[in-house]
Amino acid sequence: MTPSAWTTTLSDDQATRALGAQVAQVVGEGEVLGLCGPLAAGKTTFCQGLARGLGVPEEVAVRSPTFTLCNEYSGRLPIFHLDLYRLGSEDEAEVLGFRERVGTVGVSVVEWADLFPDLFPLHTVWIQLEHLGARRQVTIWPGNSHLAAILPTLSLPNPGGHEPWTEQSRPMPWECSP
Amino acid sequence: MFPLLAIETSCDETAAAVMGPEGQLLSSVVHSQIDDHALFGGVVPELASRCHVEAIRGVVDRALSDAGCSIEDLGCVAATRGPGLVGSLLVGLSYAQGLAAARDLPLLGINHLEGHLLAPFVGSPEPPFPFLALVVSGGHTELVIARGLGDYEVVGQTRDDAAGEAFDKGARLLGLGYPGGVVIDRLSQQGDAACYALPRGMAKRPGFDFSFSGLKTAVWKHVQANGVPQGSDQNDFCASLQEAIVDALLLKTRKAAREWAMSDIVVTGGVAANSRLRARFQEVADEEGWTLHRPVMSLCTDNAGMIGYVAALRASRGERHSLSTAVCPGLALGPDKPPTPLPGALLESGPSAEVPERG
Repeated sequence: MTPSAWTTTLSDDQATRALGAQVAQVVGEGEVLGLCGPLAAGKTTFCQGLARGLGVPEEVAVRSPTFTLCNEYSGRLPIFHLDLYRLGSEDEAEVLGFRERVGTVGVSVVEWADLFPDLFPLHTVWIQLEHLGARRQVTIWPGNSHLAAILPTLSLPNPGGHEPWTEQSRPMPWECSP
Repeated sequence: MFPLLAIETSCDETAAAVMGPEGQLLSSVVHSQIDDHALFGGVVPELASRCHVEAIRGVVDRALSDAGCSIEDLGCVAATRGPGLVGSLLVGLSYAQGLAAARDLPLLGINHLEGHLLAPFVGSPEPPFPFLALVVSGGHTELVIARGLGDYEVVGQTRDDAAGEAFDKGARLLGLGYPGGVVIDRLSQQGDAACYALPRGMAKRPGFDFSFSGLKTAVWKHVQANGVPQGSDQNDFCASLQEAIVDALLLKTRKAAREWAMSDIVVTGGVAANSRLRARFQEVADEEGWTLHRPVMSLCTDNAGMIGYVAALRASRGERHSLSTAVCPGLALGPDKPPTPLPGALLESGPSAEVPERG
């Protein structure tokens, strides 16, 4: 069965951060967000919004973990911001403390998650960001998480109005990657 | 205190170095996997979880034999305690702790960023405080005022991608090989840096922070609209990309140097090896009357020599840390705080009492 996904467009970085901040309102302990999408699609930008939404103060920089591999922030929950971009194999995830953290404590948000989908727990919420002309398309597979119920109600500050979320059956990101 | 063995395992590299009695670098060994990666033709496996564990013994033995000494000769041992990956840091620090416990040696846990900050002065008795430092690497882009040993203030930092990451991801978008910074540096030498107008992040904003994610987006847009540049166009585009990164770094550095009236300027970290950055900073140094301090190439990227140098400076002030000093993955540069021992740690500090670091 093809899983159910919700999709809408994001006009810019501000809308991408706003989505992150709104998702932050409903995530809980042990939750995992797997981010997918090409370079410059807004993955780190989404994480900035998520961290602010979880109460990480503005003066704490939320940066790309590509080279540092794992950044940690303290918000209403601990946040582990990881990046699989430089990983060569699943075995190397060990060095990120992947098994100790992801899905067990705090909120984990992982960039380039679709490189190694088998690492992720079943309850992972998958979020794909893609370029759509000058805009972005976001697709979320909420699974059985709290997000499933509220996603369609999330309104984003797109200039020119919010395009409603639409539900569709869509293969998981790593199944439809070109 | 000497010879002093220093170990660095904060991220990708396993490194060890030995410092001699005058604080001179007797040996510095870096076990890098860069050759392995080049085989993959792209940005790829940069780390293997077990690589530090597998490499550390050999790297330490090599550093000792290169320095012409043995474990029995050591007078002090130091290791990076942060920032970095918890698993990687633990390998180096635990090794140092084991050695310190077994041979009853003083132990020091060192801040990796302080190592980069003071890397240009390895071999000299004292860094020329105060100075302004630009620390630029794959994971870091920070402007730091250094007033004295352990007295640091970060006045500017990147808000998204580090400068080294801008090189790396730019190279990836342009379909170039790995390591991206080195390839862009090489291709740029035949290119026209004024050919493409690319954004200088935060240039018009107040303050001293950097941003490189807009540059990445600009490269992506260019490739979408025009395809991947080829031939001489590729050289021109690389030169323009490199110029945008160097310009952004230089602009805020110059502004900070004027703001804090600094004339000793340090440029350090992996990106400090970039030839265009070195040339442009030298030009501005001549205009502004700066004395520019850069590490030798081998001390730009991660290495243990810089860790040994900081350890030697601190040990000579009488500092030593508890054998149960914990790693600190999120360690920042700032005013000194004593390292935290692990609660309920198995290792107890030796008979010599811990001297708190001075603030």
